[in-house]
Amino acid sequence: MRATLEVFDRASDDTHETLERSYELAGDTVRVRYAGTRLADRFDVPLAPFVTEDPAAPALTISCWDRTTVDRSPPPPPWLHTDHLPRHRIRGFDADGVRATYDVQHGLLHLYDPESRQAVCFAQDAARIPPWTARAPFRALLGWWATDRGLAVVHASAVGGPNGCVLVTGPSGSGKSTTALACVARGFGLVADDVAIVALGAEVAAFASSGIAKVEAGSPVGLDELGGTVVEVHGAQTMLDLGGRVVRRAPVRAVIAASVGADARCRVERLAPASCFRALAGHSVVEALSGDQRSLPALRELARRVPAYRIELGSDLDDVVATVCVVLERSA
Amino acid sequence: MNALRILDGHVTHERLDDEVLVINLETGAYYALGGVGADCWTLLSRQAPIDTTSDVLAERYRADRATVRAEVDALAAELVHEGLATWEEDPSIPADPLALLPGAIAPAYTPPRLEKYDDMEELLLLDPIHEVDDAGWPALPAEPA
Repeated sequence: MRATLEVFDRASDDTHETLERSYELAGDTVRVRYAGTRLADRFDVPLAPFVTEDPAAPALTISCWDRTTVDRSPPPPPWLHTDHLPRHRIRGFDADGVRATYDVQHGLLHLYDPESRQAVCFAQDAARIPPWTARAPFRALLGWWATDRGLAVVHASAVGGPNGCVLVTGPSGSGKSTTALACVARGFGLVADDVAIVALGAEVAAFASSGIAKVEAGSPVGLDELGGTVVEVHGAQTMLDLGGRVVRRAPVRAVIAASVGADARCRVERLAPASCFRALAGHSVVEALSGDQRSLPALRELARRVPAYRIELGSDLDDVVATVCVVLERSA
Repeated sequence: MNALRILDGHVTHERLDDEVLVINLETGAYYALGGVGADCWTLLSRQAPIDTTSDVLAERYRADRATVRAEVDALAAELVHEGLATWEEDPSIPADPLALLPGAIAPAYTPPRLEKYDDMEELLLLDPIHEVDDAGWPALPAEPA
C-alpha cells in the first residue's frame, strides 16, 4: 500500500490539478484526494449530497488517479494472475489485512488498508469506468470500511424520510427498484438505490452513499415522474441525479422482501427473522459486497432487530406505495 | 471419516433461531437448513462426529436412531459434494454437543435438508486474463484491427 501511495504522491506532483473533497458518509468523514480531475468529474455528482465543508478528522482517506491524466501505474500486482477470482476479488486479498479488487475489463483497481485507514482507487482510464460503478463510487472500499466498523452492507433499496425508512430487498427482477422509484415519485426520499449501509447501534439506521438512481428503459415509473437530472444514459439504463431527494440518514423501521405478484394489489405477510435473514444475506454478501464473511453477523443482527414483511407486489403502483406507507406506520 | 471440517476459507455461515444460512463465497451459491437440519449443521460444523450427531438428534427429537444416522450420513456427504466441507480425520470433538444447540426445538423430527439457492451463480463469471499491460497489470486482449 505504501508503494502505491507513493505513486499517487508522484502523480499529484506531475499534475497541476489536485483536488480534495470531504464527505460525510455513514456518520463519519471520508476524505478523497484526486490527482487530476477526470475521476472527480465522474464521481462528483453521485457524492455531491455528502460534501461537508466542515470536516472532522477523516476516518478513511481515498487517493485517486487515472492513467490517462498522469501516466503512472501502481506497482505491479503482488499476486498471480491465477489469483483473480470472480467479482473482481483477489485470492489472499479479500479478507484480512490489505484488501484489493481489480476489474480487468474496465481497468479499475481498489485497495484498502484498514490499519492505516488509507485506500486507493486507480483507473486505467476514467472514461472506461462503467456507469453502474460511477454511480456508486468506491462501493468496494466503502463496503470493506463499513464492515470493519460493524455496519451491515445490504443489497437493498431504502426509501422514506428522516424519521424512518424501509429497506426493500430481493433478487434482480423482484420489483425492488420499481418499488423504490414509485415511492420516490410519490414524495418519499431516497436513502439507497441499490446498496444501503446500516448501523446497528442503539438505533438501527440506514445511510445513503450515492445521490444517483438507476432507471431502466421500460420502467413503469417514468423519468418525468421522478424529476431529477439525467447524468448519463448507457444502453437501457438512465442514471438520474436525485441529489435533492436524498435522505442521508434514516432509522430503519422495516425490511420488505419483495417479489412480483400476479394481481393488481399487493399481498403482505409478516416474515420471521430467520426468513428475513435469508432474504437479506444471500444477495448482500455475494452481489453487493466483496464477499466479506464478516458481513453475515451484522445482517443477522439486522434481521433480528427490525420487523420484516414479504410483499407480493401488485401491478397498481399506487397500491404498492400505499402498502409501503402502511408498513412504515405499523413499524414506527 | 466420521466428522466434517467446514471449509472456512470460502464458506461463511450464521444461525438465526432455527435456521442456518450458509454461503459459498466462491460459487455464489447459498444454502438454508431449518429445524433439524439447522441442529445437524450446528453439530457437524463443530466437528461433532456423525455418530455423536445422530445420537444427539435421535435423543432430542425422539426419533429412530438408525433412520437419523442414515439421514445425517446423507447430509454430510451432500455438504462435502457441494464443496462446503471436507472429511476430517482428526476432529476436535466438542465436549458437550448438546450444549451447542439452542433451547427451542422444532416440533417434530424431519429429515435434515439442504436447500440450495444458486440464482447468484450466473453473476460469477471469471474474467479471462490473457495479457498484461506494460505496467504489469492484467488487461483484456487487444481488439482486432
